[in-house]
Amino acid sequence: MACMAQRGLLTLRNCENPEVRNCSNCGRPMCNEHLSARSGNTMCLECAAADPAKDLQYDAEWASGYRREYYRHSGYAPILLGGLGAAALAGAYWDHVDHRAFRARTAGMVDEDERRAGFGDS
Amino acid sequence: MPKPPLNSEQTNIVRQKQVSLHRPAGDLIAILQPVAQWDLAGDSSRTKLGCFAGIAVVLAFAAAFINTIPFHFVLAAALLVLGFVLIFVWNRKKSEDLSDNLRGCAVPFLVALREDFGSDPVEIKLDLRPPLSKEKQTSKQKVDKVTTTIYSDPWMSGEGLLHDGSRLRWNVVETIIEKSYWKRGSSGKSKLKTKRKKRVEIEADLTLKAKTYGEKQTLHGEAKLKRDKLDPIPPDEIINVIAGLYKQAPS
Repeated sequence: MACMAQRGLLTLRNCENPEVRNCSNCGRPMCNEHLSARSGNTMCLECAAADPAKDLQYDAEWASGYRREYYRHSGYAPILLGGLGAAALAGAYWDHVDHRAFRARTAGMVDEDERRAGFGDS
Repeated sequence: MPKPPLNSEQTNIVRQKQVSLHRPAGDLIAILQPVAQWDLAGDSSRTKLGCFAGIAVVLAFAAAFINTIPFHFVLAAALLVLGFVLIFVWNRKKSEDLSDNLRGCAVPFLVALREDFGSDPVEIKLDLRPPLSKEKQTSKQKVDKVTTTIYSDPWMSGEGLLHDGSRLRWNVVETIIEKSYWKRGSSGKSKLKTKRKKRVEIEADLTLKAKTYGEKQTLHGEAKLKRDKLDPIPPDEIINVIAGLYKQAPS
């Protein structure tokens, strides 16, 4: 099976290197290049990604964390190359924080902003 | 933090403070990252040296006036010599200082875009002389007791083929305006006040590949930023300009 990581920041494409092992956190098959050295090659870079604002070591983990944070704060949508599927894109865009927001809504919880007037409401 | 060992190429970069390389992004990172760490370690050791020199000089003056210590004048003289030696070493090491733009912007920029560049060589030119060095001073004027000094620092430019076939060129120029004047306080003491601001101009050209984007076209983007501090701009600012060009690309 091929590595399921995505390469790039401005444009995304599938890695497609041969799988070496599955990530111990998300279970996706990963190649050597996309396994985190900091985790002892047990987790993928995205799962092991450091907080780029606090991390001063510019390595693959930092780059993965930087990509996640860059998409989040800039709203940039990368161009998908080579038929990258929606599932792969979701992996690059949404993490547990985003999923948690959707789960709260579906469980009948009301968002705090909807309960009372916010800053923009008169 | 210990200084990492540098090879001959990296030592040349430190000595000349100029980078002109044409290598794959991974190789550029492998060359420049240790240089950036070396500079960071050098900065912290210089700070320590400066502190020790200051302490030695203060202790020398204190020892000169404390009569209870035997041979206090000898001790004071020894501490003073030590202080001046440390100041001399500090000053000498200061000449090895590289611009913080390397570790604050250039290296993280290359690491962030490493996979976008792929294995094709990237041409990069860096001017790592400190932004306020005399070589970068373009003008100095004194008007009404205020001295205005302008520094021009075109510290990074580069060109490379991205993985999608597009060709990227980028250029970063910083202009630093330094205003200094003497101000007399209420106690009558005069102090030199210095204020610095910088303008950053980022330009990027992206030539899209016809095979990937339907037609070949060159997109141009630029950003002008103002900063009250001389800290390096984050790599986001350059990537934002390039990302802005990709947003214009036909999908």
